[in-house]
Amino acid sequence: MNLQLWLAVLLPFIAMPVVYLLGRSMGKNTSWIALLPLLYSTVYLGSLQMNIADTPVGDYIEWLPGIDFGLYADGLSNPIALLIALLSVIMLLFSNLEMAQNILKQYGGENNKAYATFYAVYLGYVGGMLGVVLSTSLFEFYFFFELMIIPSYLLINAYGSGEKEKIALSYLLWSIVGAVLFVTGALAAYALTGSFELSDLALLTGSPYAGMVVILMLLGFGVKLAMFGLHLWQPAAYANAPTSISALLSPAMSGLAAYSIARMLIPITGTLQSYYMLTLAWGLVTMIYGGLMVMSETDIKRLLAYSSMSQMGYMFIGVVSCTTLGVTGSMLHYISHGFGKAALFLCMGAIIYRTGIRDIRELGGLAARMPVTATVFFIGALNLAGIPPTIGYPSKMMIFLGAFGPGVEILSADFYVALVALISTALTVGYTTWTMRRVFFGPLPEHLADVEEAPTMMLLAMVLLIAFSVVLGIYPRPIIDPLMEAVAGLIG
Amino acid sequence: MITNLLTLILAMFVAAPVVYLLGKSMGKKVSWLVFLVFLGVTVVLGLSFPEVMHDTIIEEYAWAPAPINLTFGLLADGLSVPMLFTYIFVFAGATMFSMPYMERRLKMDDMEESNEAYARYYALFLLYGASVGGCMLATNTLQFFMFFEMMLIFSWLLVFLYGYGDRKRNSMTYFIYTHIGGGVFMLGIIGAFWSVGSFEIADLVHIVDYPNAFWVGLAITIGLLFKIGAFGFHGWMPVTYSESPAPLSAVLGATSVMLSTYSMARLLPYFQGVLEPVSHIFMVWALVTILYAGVMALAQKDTKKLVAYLSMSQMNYCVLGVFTYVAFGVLGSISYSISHGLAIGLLFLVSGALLYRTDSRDMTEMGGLAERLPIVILASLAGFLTIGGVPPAVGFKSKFILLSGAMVRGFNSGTTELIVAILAGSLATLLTLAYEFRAVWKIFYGKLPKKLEDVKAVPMEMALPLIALGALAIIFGIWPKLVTDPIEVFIEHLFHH
Repeated sequence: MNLQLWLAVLLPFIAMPVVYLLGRSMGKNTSWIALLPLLYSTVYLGSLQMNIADTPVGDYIEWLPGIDFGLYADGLSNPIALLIALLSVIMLLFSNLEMAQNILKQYGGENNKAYATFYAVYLGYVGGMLGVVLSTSLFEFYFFFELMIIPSYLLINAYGSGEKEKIALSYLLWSIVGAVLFVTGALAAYALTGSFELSDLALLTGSPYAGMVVILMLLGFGVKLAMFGLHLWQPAAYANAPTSISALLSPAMSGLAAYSIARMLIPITGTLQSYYMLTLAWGLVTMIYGGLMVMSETDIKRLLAYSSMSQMGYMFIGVVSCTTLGVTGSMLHYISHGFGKAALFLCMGAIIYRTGIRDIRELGGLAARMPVTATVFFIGALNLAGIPPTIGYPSKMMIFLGAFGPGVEILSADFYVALVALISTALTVGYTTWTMRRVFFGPLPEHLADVEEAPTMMLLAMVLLIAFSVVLGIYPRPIIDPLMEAVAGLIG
Repeated sequence: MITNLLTLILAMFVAAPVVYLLGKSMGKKVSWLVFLVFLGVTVVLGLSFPEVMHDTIIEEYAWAPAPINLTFGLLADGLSVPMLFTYIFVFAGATMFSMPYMERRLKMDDMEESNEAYARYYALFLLYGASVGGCMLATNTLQFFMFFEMMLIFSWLLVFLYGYGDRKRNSMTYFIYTHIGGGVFMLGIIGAFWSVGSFEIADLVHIVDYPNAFWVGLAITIGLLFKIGAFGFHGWMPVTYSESPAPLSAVLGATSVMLSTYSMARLLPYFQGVLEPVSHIFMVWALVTILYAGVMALAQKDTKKLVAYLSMSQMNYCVLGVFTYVAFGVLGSISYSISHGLAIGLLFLVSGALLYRTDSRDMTEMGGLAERLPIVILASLAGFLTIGGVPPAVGFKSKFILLSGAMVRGFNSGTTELIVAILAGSLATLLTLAYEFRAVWKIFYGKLPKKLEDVKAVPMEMALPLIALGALAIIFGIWPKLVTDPIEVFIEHLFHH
């Protein structure tokens, strides 16, 4: 039994009661205790990444007769899991001060129990996500999927802002609708193949019911990705969660659905491809709609929520293209969006922390007062728009190459579709720079005259994110190489 | 660990008069004795899990001479032990819960608090549990029927003596419906006796070779569908559940689901040859019940009515699973009935605790109770998670297995079964979550009404059963092998034939 691997997923769960009990006396310093299990997961998964292409790591135990509980880290799942662990560590650094302010506001004083609960649930949430990525059977995937939804619901419900209970409930109900659609597909897959193993989904190839399974699961994942039409829960949930949670909800969790499509649906050769025109159109509509909505928003976090929706559209068209380049690009975009969008969320979180303002119309000129935050926002925006030297550049390029490469060559309908996608990219550049101008440049309003730079701990979190984004942008091979190999294996 | 099954059953029956006589002088304190008896039985059954993994324990005593050749037999195997264990566990919890609850109940206007009333209540409670124990261990159908009727009489007396509202009328409805069910069931077993010449359950192996097998199987099924409240036969269920004292509702609910599922899993596989061709009708029937009761649950304001309807809805998943005639479907049914027995016990106790503390059953008058009643909300979450099939509660894995069985059946036979499987997996699950969230929302969140501002936490005797039942639901959920391993052995045996 590979205990180290199991601990990477289970340690956050095991630490939950410890963190809760310690938290009741430690208060806001609890975050340092919660950091330990997450650091372990990060370091362990990070150490795997070096040789992941040659030595995938897996381990299985029998949970119920016929149903194995396994964990499997390969070139595809490991970078994703690593990103989740890493982001969760960075968000913990950020959450410390943010939660202190939130709790002070919410309870009118210190409340150790609130800290204890927050960090314990936070660990459960991260553990759930890690489990989803590394799981090896449909049953286990669904198990962790639910274990991920419930803590995130609790976090929004208890620590969000605005009409948090209502928003959290809508988030929960939509997520469950998605999960139920997925599970119906999963049960059908089991009935057809006689196995819950993810690797046996390929057996569905050629089955007359394969289309049904793929559509059910795709709709289920579509909810999680907040694809157009299934996105109603998304803007409010992202905007009203605490920033450190928003920065996990959007970059880490949503994109997991794209990973799941790659892991589960692509090996069913031929089925997903046959819907390509439909799925491509759906992805494009999501991209454009999300991008346009950003322009019309005034709440700085809601604006980022819509931008996430738009970026999920990119990930979606990459993965449904079912080409090695497209799928690899999509997974890489998951990672690049993870760093980029998290950085943007943290910038907005820092601004809200310092000014208490969420309305973009009341902001302006902050670059002079918060220079580091402004720089981080700038690089995060470059990342989102796909401009070198950030990792956003290779990821977007690969998506386009994969999704439209063949179309451009023969000037088919795909070519014109590709033009739409390019327009959407221009839109991304547009909305990020426009937001940048409205928040950071122009005259400094009087009420913002004494705003200070964000605290060091928050800056550290932000700088770490963009540092990763730039370093990987310059040298993405440790991620791209194993990823490409694993994806090529899946496509077969 | 089980040295003697007869002693186990007799211990409960013999203790009843003792409880009654002691109760006449001790009053409400006699409940502890009943609790200890149930606890003892639970422990013995729990310790015998490893044993029934390998062996079937059979005890036989001569009962009636030839030509009937009736034996009084007791059988402990991978099916009966886990089910009875959970069932008696719920009884033990409900007994402890009764201590504060029944005191309040007997102090109400339409009752007279006396030692006699306590003595009767606890003695009947014990007899009720013991009779179902007899049912689940019986080796022949006649013996099963005898215990079934005893169960009915004792529970009817409890509803009649201690129910709320028009209890005479309610208990009569309950009695008549269940008795009709019992009668139809009786027709079935007599028919079986004509054919195979014996009442032994084991002799039913060859029943399908006889021409009347279909009708026998149908009669047994219909009889049990009355007990599980299938649509059309459910007239007694909501009213009996909601108008009984909470601990009694808890065990009534557990009885319905566990006894019926137990009997179906025990008897109906023998009729596979004749019933499988029409089993899709029962699958559709179960789905109709699930959806009908689910919609009704969504419309309730009364907490106990809500639990009554949701339990009616969920119980019929077990019917669906059994009639898939697929190994996973039956395994799912049995484990789901265990899950549901726990959950329904838990939720009725929760509704009782709410009534105890707020003096109301109206959800619209509640709100914001999460902080006032922390244990109650945790318990109700454990119950709701189990019913919604959400991990880490035990309902997750059992429902998942059950539905995958249904799906297998769907793909292997006609479109009807496939549609049933898909709707049960999607629409019915969503409906479940909808009424659950509505309930949790209305009761525990939102604004705390003025008149509930000084609600205190529940007393220890209520908190402990809630914690124990909730904890078991989670433990079984995290480590399902604990309870599924013995059942698995039974299923393997069943489909090996």
